[in-house]
Amino acid sequence: MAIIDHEAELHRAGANITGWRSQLVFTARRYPLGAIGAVIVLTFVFTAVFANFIAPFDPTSTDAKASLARPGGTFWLGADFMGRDMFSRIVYGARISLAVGLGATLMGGILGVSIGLMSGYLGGGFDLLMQRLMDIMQSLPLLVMALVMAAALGPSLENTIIAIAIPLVPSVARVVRSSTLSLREQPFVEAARAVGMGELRIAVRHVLPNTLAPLIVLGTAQLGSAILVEASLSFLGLGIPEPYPSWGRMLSESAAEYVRTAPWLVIFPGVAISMTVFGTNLLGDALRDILDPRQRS
Amino acid sequence: MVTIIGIEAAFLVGGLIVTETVFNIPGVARFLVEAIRWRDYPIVQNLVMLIAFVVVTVNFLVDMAYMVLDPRIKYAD
Repeated sequence: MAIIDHEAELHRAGANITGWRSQLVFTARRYPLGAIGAVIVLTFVFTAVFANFIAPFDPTSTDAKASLARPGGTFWLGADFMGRDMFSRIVYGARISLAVGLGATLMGGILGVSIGLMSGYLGGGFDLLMQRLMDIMQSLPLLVMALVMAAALGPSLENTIIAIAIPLVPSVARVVRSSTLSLREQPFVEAARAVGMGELRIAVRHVLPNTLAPLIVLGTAQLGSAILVEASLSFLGLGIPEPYPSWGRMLSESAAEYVRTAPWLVIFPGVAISMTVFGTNLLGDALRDILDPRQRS
Repeated sequence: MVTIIGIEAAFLVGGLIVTETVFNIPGVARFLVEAIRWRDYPIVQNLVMLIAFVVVTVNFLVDMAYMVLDPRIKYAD
């Protein structure tokens, strides 16, 4: 697993680089789209973390006088039919999206890594059983699987995270298994065994770190799709339940009735969803170029 | 190229759920969402089985298309 030595490469390119700041600028110049993606993702994370300082209103407080208020004035992005401020709701919605996106990606990642690592390292019957299980899970599209899982578990924040995490498991397990299979035969594993290391320790300390590069790439891609699936689930009414502001549900509750009279109710959550997913995808592509040079197109 | 068609097909079946709800098309995916709303689990099971069948069939056809398009690929008999 060759991760390119960036500093050496930068020196070869003749860049006079000292310190992390100029290195950051150089990387950003080299991958401009990735830098844009990183900025979008950072804005999204910042908004989510500091939602209570950014939002001017409580996202759940209603105001009958402000029902369907136009954008501008007190309500920057207008207000919905219950007079709730759209801007505050979008800002708090970022928190929900980030919680579900990160939670589902991490949970799916941890499950997938443990299954993939065991499956690739142990091989034999366990591998066969696990891979057929992954085949079964992959025979359903991500959204259908998440939809059925959410329906079976019932709507709540935790259940939505679980429902999105489970369908993400097979792709992580596949990626980890395939790198583990080739790493298992490498000389350094043999050396570790010769020194007398336990098998578990070899697997976790020596094989796992070498699978991280493709994992990070996959994780960023999955973060985007987890956010998108959360929005779709909430749009269908099976995701996050009512008190929490979720971008998908903000779309669905206003799309049917108010799209002609108050289009800002539909436009702004939609823009929020597409910008976030767009940003994670750009960042993921750039990370793939940096961490996995073999896939470079 | 053919691989992309296979992956896209599975992805599009997932996308159908939202598309059919938005445009109010009375299709399989909309039926699935409504069955979930009614808590009508036998119908949900059947529809999920149908979707899985379609996805697996498309993937199988893609694998077979490899053999036709690229004579170097042969599956063991």
